[in-house]
Amino acid sequence: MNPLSILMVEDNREDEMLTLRSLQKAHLGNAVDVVRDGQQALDFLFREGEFQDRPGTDLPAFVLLDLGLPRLGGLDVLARIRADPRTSTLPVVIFTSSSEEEDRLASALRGANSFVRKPIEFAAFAERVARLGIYWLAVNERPGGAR
Amino acid sequence: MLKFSGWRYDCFRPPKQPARAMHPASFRPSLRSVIAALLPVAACYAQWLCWPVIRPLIWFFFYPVVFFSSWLGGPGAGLTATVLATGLAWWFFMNPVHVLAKPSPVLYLNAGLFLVMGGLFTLFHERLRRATRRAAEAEAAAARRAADAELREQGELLDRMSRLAKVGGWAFDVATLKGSWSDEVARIHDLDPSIQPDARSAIGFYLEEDRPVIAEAVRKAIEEACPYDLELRLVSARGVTKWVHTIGRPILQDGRVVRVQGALQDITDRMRIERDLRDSELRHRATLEQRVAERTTELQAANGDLESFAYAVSHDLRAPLRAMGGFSQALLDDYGAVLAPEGREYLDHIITSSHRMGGLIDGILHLSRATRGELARVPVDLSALAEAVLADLAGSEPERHVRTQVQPGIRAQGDPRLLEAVVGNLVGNAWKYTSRTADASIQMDAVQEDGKRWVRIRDNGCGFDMAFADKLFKPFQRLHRQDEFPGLGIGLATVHRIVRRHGGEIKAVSAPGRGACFYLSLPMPETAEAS
Repeated sequence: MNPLSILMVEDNREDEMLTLRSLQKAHLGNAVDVVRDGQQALDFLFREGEFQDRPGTDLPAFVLLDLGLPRLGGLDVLARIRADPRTSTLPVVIFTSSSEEEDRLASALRGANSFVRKPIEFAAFAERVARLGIYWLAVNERPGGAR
Repeated sequence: MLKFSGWRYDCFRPPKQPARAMHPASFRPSLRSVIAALLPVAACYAQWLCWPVIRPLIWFFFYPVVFFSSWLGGPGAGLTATVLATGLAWWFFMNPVHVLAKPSPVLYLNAGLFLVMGGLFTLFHERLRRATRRAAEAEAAAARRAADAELREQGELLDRMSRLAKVGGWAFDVATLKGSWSDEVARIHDLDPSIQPDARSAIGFYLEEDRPVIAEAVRKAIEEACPYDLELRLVSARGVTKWVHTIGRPILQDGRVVRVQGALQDITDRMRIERDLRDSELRHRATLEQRVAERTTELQAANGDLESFAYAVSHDLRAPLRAMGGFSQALLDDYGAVLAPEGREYLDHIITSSHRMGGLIDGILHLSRATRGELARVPVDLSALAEAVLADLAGSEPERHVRTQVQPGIRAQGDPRLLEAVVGNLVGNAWKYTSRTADASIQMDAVQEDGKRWVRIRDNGCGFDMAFADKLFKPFQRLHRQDEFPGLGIGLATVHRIVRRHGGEIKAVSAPGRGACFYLSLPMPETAEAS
C-alpha cells in the first residue's frame, strides 16, 4: 500500500518548487502529486478525465489548495470536495498569498480544515510548510484513514 | 321743528324717506300754520302792553308779525294772520277803540294798506318757498344722479374685477331654495347672467363624483350652520369641466339658517398650473433619482475594480517576490560554498529587498483596506488599545526602557479594527522615533480644545521639521532616512484615511529633536462614559 501522499493544487511553479524544497528540507519523503488548476484537482481526486487511470487507489492524506487558480477557483474546488461523499471528510488546507478576511471567512464557511498564508520570507515559508506536513501527515488522524 | 338757519326753509326740504310720512312729527306743519295764524294775538297783547310808549303807531307790531307768520305758516296762515291782525288793530287800537264804528278815512287807508302788504308778504314768501324747493329738488336729483353714476361705476369695476379673478358671489334662500348669483358666477357656468338659479339646479352642475360632496356641504350649512370651503369640479352648460373654489356661509336669523351665501371662483388655471408643476417636479425627481442610481452603479463598479485590483496586488505580487527571495535563499543554501563572499552578499541584498517589498505590499493593502468595506460604529477603548500596543512593543524590545503614561478610559465611536490600526501606528511611531532618545517617554491623554475633544499622543523623540508637515500624511512620503529610522511611509497615510472616514481630524505639532505630538479627534461614544 502506498504511503500517505499529498495533493498540491498550485498553478505557480515557483511556489510549487519552494514548497517541495521545504518538505524535502523537513525530511518528509512522502509523495506529492501536483496539479495546476481546480478542474485537474477534482479529476485527480475522482479519477476522471486525464486521471482516469492514475495508479494508486487512495485519496491523499490532505490537499494543499491555493485559492487563486485558473479555471475552477480554490473555493469552488473546496465546495465540490465537501459536497461529494467520497471526499467530504478529506482534510483540505488552504495555502494562499491572500491575507483577506473575506477569503479566511469563505474558506472556513466552506469547510476548510486550515487556512495558512504563504509568507514572503522564504525562511518563514519553509518553516510553515514543514509544520503543515508534519501535522497533517504524522499528527492528524482522519476517519477512514488508511493507516 | 322750527329751525331757522339763514334764509332756508328746513320744513320744506324734500322728505328723505317716504316711511317718515307716517310719523307723528308729520303733523308739525299744520301746527305751525295754527301757531303762525295766531301770532297776531300775541302781537296784539304785546302792543297793548307797550301802547303808552308807541302810541299812535297802530301797526307797529302787526307788520313784522304778519311778515313772520307768512314765512312760518305758509300762504294760508299768512292771509289768516293778516285778516286777524287787521281785525285786532281795528278793535283795540283804532279810535274809537272797542267799536266797529267807522273810523277816519286815513285809518281805512291804513287798514287797506296793511291788508295789501300782508297779501304781498304772503305772496313773496310763497314764491321764495317755491324757488327754494325747486332748488333743493334739483340738488337732490343731481345728488341722486351722482350716486347712481358712482354705483354704476363701482358695479362695473366689481364686474371687471370679477372677470379678472373669475370670482363671483351667490346666495339662496333656505325656505324657497331660490337664489341669485352675480354675472361672473353665471359666466363660470357658461349661462346667461339673466338666468337666476335655485340651489338644487346649481348643485346639479357639479361633476357627478363631486356632487355628493357639495350636496352634503350644503345640507350641513342649512341644517347645522356649518360653513364650507371646497375645491370641486363642475361641468358648465357648454360641457366644459372646470375646477372651482366654492365657499358657503350660512346666515342665521333667530337661531335658524335663513340664507346661505358665498362665493365661487374658477380655479381651473391654477389647478392646471399646479398639476403641471407637480408633474414636472415628479419628472425632475425621477430623472434625478435615475442619475443618482447611475452614478451609484458607476461608483460601485469603480470601487469593485479598485477592490479586485487590491486583491490582485495582495495575491499576485507576492508570489514572484517569494520566488526571488526563496530561490536566492536556495542558491545560498545549496551553492553558497562555491560563491565568492561578494556573491553571497549580493544574494543577501536580493533577499532583504524582497522582504522590504513584501512589507510595502502589505502597507498598500492596509491603506486600501482603511478606505474599503463597511465601517462599524461601536464604542472602542483607545486607552486599552494603546496599553496593549505598548505591552507588545516592550515585549519585542525588552532592552528598551520607555516611560509610558496612558490616561485610562479614553473612548471613541468607530470601527475596532481600524481604530486599532490608528493607535498601533501612532504609538508604534512614538516607540520607533524615541529609540535614540536617552530618557524616552510616551504619553496619551485627552484634552478639550476648540470645542472638541482631542486625543493626544506625545513622545520626546527626534520629532520632525514642521516645514515638511504637509508630507506627513501622504503615502510613501518619509521625513527620515531609511538608515536613521526604517519605515515604509504608509502608516500615517493609513491613519489619516481612517480618521477621515470616521469624520474626525488629525494634526501634528513637532520640532526636530523636541518630540512630536499628534492630535486626534474622533466621534465620542453615544452613551455616557461609564467611569
